Amino acid sequence: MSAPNSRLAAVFVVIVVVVVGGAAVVPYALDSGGDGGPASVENQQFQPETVLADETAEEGTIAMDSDADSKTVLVDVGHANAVSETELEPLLSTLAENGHRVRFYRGQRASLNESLRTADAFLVVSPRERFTSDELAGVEAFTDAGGRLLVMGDPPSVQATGGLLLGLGGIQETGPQTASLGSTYGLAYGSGYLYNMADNDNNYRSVFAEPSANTDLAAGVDRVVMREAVPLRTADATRVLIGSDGTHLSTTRDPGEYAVLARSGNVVAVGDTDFVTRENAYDADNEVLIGNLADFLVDGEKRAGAPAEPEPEPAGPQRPPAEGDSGEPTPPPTPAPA
Amino acid sequence: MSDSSDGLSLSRTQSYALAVAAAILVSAVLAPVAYERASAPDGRVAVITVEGTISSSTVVPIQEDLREARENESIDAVVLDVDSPGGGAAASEQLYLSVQRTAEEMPVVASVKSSGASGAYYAMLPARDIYVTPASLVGSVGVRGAAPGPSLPGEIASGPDKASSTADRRRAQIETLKNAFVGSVMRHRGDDLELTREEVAHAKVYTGARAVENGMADEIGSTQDAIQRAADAADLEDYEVVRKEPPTRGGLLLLSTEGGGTVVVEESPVGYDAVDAPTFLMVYGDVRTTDEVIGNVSA
Repeated sequence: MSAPNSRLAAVFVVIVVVVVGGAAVVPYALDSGGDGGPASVENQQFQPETVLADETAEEGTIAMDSDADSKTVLVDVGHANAVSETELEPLLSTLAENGHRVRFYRGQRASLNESLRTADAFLVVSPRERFTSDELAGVEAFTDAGGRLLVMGDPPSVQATGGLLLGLGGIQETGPQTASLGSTYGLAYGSGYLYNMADNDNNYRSVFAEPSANTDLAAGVDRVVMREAVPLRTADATRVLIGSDGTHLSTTRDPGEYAVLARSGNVVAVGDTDFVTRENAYDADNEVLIGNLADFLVDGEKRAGAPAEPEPEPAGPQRPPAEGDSGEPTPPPTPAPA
Repeated sequence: MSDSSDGLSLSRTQSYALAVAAAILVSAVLAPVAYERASAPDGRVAVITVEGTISSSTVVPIQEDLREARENESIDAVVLDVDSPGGGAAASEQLYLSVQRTAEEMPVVASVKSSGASGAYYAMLPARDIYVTPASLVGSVGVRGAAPGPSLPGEIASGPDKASSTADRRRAQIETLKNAFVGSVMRHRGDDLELTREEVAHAKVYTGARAVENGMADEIGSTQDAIQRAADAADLEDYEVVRKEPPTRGGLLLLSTEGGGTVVVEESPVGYDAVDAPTFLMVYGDVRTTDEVIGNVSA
């Protein structure tokens, strides 16, 4: 290879090295940080200590203070009540554990008034069928004679019927038929539900209720949790528990002191049914309230035989009694064997 | 080189001619580049469409568009063209993070067509400005999820919480997601908001004019106004608009009907079609599973 040619080759190599090397080095020299390091973003609002909701401890036991002797508590399940016996279990078990009898009125064999005659207390939860005027008169006579009445109700719930396509069925609002029952005692269930955006148990509808009167029913209660509370309107009844500060009513969005548990003589009305279920029974002081309500049910002194037997014919639209017309516990209907 | 004896020498004239020819050749290559440079706009504004329900599958192409905007140096600003009632909670959070990352690097402006509610509102929070029209709907800062149901009969699970949850736990989970959502709203818009944290958590939707008044949005204006705003923020006097349309979608977890606002949660692809997977939604409108109404939001 001649000298000029070798010089040409050297020049060629130098140019290639400079160009390729330059291409490799330039990005470092011009480093704009473009797509390299992603911008670091601090999201303090996502950190666990900021967002995690407090879960309240569930502890305590349901206890009764009453020393009353084996009273009979009649539980209404005969008015299409929107509650199952399982849901009432904490209250009913407490009564049973303390030596009291729990009977169910199913509206099948005996009339309500007959069943009430042998009962000391009557528990009505979210009835979906109206009480007849005879039944209302019977309940009034029952409480006048010292019988205890506990009414619990929920806000109206929306039920879809007709299955998959709502167009074929419909949505109907089913509210508890507690109006006539409560009005006798100056107690009425308001419309809508209660909510509290500031002070709640992890949901705006899980409101806290606190004692507003120093009564036995509120003894030992600091505050209770109600999952779906409806306000009670009272004439001259004692407002025992009211929603904590900041409680609003859904229909008006107005804040206020809404009563969720009120007492008028032998009658107590509660604007919630969920607090008594096993899942909620130990939240906050719910267990204390359940014990107090159990005490209330059995602490009455009811005169025997009330409501009095009607003169000519049994009241109520009942089927003719088949066998055993007393208020004996009626067994649940069992499906016929296939 | 003029008197070399090997015959390769060129006359002076020839050398000049060669140099001129080479110069013209090089110029011919470089001139278009120079022309391009001189006549090119200062930069580009990418308009990225966020449309329909936000789900884990629909969010991916939008995230890719945002990533491209960050990596492509010719793009100087981004406009989010939003028309969505929200969607899945996790997908909405993903989109929020992508938009936030983009907003760290360049101006991002959001423009709401008919709705930018719930999860879609979440996603555009990092934007420096939110443009709405009087009929746009924004807000609905909240989370929803089906209450836990009973576990299937005949199924064996390895633990008590494998197949179902408790209402207490579900409430706590939803409250936690709500805290993150409301916290993000307060972080990004706290200075403009006339609403308290508690009022934001009511999850109300607001029409455009009301939203501008209470600070949930910034300006009444069209997408064009939003593009102009983004260009101004990026100091672009002369700019080009690049539109990023979402690809046609299929196989979504969530589908939106044409009526607007109704979202059908499709059957789980994993099996157990009758089971509601515990999906948390950040969505505005009626929501129903195949056989039950989870809940309604009233306007």
